[in-house]
Amino acid sequence: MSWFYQAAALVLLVSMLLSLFRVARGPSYADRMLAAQLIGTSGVALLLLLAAAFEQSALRDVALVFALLAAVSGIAFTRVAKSVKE
Amino acid sequence: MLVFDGLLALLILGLAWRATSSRDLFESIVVFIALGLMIALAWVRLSAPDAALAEAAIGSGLAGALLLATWSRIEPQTDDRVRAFSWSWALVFSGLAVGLLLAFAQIPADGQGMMDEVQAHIPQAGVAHPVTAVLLNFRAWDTALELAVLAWAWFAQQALNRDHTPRYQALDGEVLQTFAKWLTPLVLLVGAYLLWRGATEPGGAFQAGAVLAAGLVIYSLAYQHPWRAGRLNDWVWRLSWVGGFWLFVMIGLVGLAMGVGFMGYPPAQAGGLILLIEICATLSIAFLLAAMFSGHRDTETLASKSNKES
Amino acid sequence: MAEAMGLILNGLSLLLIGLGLAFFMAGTLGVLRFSTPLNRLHAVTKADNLGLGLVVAGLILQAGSWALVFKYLIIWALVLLSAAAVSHLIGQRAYQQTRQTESGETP
Repeated sequence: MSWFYQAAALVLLVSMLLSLFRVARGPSYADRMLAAQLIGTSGVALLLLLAAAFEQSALRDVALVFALLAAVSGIAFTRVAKSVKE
Repeated sequence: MLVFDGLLALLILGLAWRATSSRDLFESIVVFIALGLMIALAWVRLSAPDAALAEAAIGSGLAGALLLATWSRIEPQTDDRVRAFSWSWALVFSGLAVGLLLAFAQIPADGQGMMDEVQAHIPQAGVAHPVTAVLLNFRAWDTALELAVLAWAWFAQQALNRDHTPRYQALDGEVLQTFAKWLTPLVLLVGAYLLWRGATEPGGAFQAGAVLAAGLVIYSLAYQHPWRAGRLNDWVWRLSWVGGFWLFVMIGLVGLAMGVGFMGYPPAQAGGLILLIEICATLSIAFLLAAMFSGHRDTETLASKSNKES
Repeated sequence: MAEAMGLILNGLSLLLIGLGLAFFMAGTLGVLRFSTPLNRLHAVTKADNLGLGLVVAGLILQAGSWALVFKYLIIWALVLLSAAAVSHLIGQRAYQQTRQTESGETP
């Protein structure tokens, strides 16, 4: 199964790369932020797959922290952002 | 996995370039958050889950929030000047790059490092995880100084930023408040788990502190006011903010007096002492990082403000 | 018998994780191709909830212990919770902005 997990992790990395185009292009603040949100969730899935592929249980803790803290920057954005793009 | 690692490395370089070269500050910040994520993945691939944990918590979580809070306070700036190519700077940076490459070439390829020596002394260290043993025992001095650096950063930020709190925007509904209410206990649980696990597995004070700080930041974002001391005296909080470092030094001095050297612990008590230091360091880190975000206000200023308002 | 069970479980895991990846890919394409911020947000939530959910379901079938199953479920639940909250909040901002630009165009 390890080969499959690794291939799946690669697919996720490619999908994260694609989401980055939305971060770069915008155009609104919300667009960039929601792309970052998608990248964060993909990161959680990627870490879980890597943990299974290499049987490193510590990576699941990293995924746990990712999942817990993915919200911080998104919330900070909605709370402090100027609501309109000048 | 070679393809994976190569793509990851290219992504990190590309994101770093984009974060520094973008003309849009907000884009730079979001790219920086993504960069933190990728660097955490790189640490994972380098078999350093301890560093990955810290990077995940600080790099992509807290740093993003801090940068966004700063961004909300400054005027939007665009810098459209065309920069002239400077030969002298190009020379300086290529010299730096060559130096780094030379240093990299010096690293022995078999890569055992100090592992044998660390493993030989683990029985006296008081903890079973080699990274924690190095950080809190063999090289405790480094960790204590890291705490001092963090306290120093907080002082500097207070000097520049006194009485400034982020400007919060209004939101409709109660979603954020409810979310914060549900998340806070989970954050406390995960923080304690990481701290406890640090004795035998990747984890420890910095990671736990960063997670707790993120919880405090979410709380202060949800409830609109900077997280503050409440009924407890300011001095108690100030002590806990910088206390991690001083407790560390104090225990170090006790070690010196007992003849095991500065920052050495008697092997029999090492486990307990490390746990004590780690708990204090965790709280200290959590409060410092959270205070950097929400901007600490003294209770006197708060009192005088509310007097003015009433 | 046990071997056959293992094969079936492996096949199911492959299927679930593959489906999860498909959702992630679809979400990413949606983020890239959809025309308004709110549409893009819609795409993100599919990837967040179903994509990760299916990957986690596939991994749970391979988990050796109940503690591990529990941990997977906690991680998924956390992402569900925070994705729901953050998407809602980003949605509020996107919605405000859409309204402001619309009222700006038709004074």
